[in-house]
Formats: sequence, structure tokens, C-alpha cells
Amino acid sequence: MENLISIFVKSIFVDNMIFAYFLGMCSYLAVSKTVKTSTGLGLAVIFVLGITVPANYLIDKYLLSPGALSWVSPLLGALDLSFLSFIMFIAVIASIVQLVEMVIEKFSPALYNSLGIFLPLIAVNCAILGGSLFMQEAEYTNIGEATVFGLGSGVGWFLAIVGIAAIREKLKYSNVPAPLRGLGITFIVTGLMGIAFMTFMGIKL
Amino acid sequence: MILLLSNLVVILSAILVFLAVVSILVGVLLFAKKKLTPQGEVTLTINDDKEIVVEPGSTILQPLVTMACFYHRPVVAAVHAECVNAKFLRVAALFWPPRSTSLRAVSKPKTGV
Repeated sequence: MENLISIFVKSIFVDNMIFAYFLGMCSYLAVSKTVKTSTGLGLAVIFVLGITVPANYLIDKYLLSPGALSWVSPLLGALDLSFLSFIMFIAVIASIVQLVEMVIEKFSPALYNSLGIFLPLIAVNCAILGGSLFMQEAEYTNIGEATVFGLGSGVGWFLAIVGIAAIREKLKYSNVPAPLRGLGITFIVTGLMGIAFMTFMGIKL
Repeated sequence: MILLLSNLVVILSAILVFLAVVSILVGVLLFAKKKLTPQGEVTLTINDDKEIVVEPGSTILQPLVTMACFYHRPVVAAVHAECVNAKFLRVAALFWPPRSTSLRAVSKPKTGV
């Protein structure tokens, strides 16, 4: 249990997808104009990461990693299909995103309209593929750890996008120098938030 | 020969694994599509006299434009609402001023002079 909490806190604060690795910046910058929309996208990313990371964990453990196919036949024990990781992970991510799109369109058409093109673009959000690849690299021992890592990464991304959206909403009323208005000041604020998040790196978990 | 055989095993198993996983994903997506997206056709009835049969899932404006039904600007703005799940919709009751009524007649009558 302690291990799971450690993975969760670490993936949110220490290994934050946005502030530590700068992954998923495209939709982070484009959909962070209002807190409401960014909350919706953040929740969708948590959902997608929470499903794709454990799904990809199972695929990696039982199909792709060296010796994974030995459960089918001992003769296949020597096979290493890890070269298929990228294409398999992306296929799973694309399917789950399609599923999420259908669910959101059915139950929240308003959110579906406000997310617009960025909802299908979650499929190519590098934070999602990054989550699966980091999971593969970390060699988690069970699916629980992988799920907690996926959810934690999603929550970290959610925190980042909601934080920047809240700041941008307030920035509308600030006297920002003309050349920095818009994306310029957003990049600077993101950098400052990244520096602030670096303070968590000292935590020993 | 042994090298060739082992490569063949790797290639064949990679193809099989890939096909199996993709088939499962496609199956899940088709099942979800069947359960989540509206099926069949939608009938739009305009002013009780004109019926259009359209595919569900797009905005209500789309079939109206396709059928060359042109409206006053405020009506078009109102029609922009989504109509995903409606099976039967009375456009007349919801948005459309009666055909014989012009916009000026619908707007508030001027008082005074």
C-alpha cells in the first residue's frame, strides 16, 4: 500500500508529465483558456491514462516482453516482440480515445463541442504514449502499480492544465506587455510553474 | 536455416499477436458504437407540412441547408442547437416564426410616435 501511495504522489508531483517532462504541451497550451474546458480535457486525459496504462501493461507483460508468450507454449518462451510496443500502444490508445469520444458525445454534448478537435487529438497527446512508455521502462511488478501510475500521471496533467487555465483567466485582467500577450506569457508562466514543481524533486519516497 | 526458421517464427507470431489485439479493439469499438451512438433515421417535421428524413448525429442546421430551406437570421442562430437523440422534432413549434410572418411583425411593436 505504501508503495502505491509513493508511486501516486511521485507521478503527480515529482515526475509530472507537463512540468518535469514537458509532454502533452500542444493541448495544454491550446485548451487552457478557460478552467471549465480544461477541467473537462483534464478529466478525459485522466480517464484515458487510467485505462490505457494498465491495458498496455497487460499487453506488454503477456504478449510483448521477452519470454511473455511462454504462457501460450514453452516453445515461444524465447520470443521477444517488444519491437511491436509502439504500434500496439498507439493502437490501444487510439481505440480508447474513440471510446471516450463516443461516451462524451453521448453524455455531455456541451463538453464535446467545447473540446472540439482536441478530444480526438488526445490520441496523439504525447503524455498518453509517454505514460505507457514510462510504465514499460519502470518495469512495474503488478497491474495495480501500473494503474496507479497511469492515474497519477493523469492527475498531474490535470493539475497542470487547470492551474495554467486559472492563471490565464486572471491574466486577462493584467497589464501584460504587448509583445508577450497570449502564448508568450503562457510559456513564461509554464516555465515558472515548472521551476516551482522542481521543489518536489527533493522528496524521498 | 535455423536462423531463417526462427525469424519466420518471430514474424508470424508478431503478425498473429498484432491481428488478435487489433481485432479485439475493433470489436470493442463496434460494440460501443452500437450501444452509444444513435441508430436509424430522424424525421424532421417543419410547420406540419414538410418532412425530411435525415441521418442522426449532425446539427439540425445541416439538413435544412442541404434541403435549401432558408430562414431569417435569428432562426438560424436558434436552429444551431444540437439534435442528436431526437426522434421527432417540430421545428415550427420550437424556432420558426409562422411562414406568413415577417421578422418585423414578430419584433416588438414600437410605442409612441
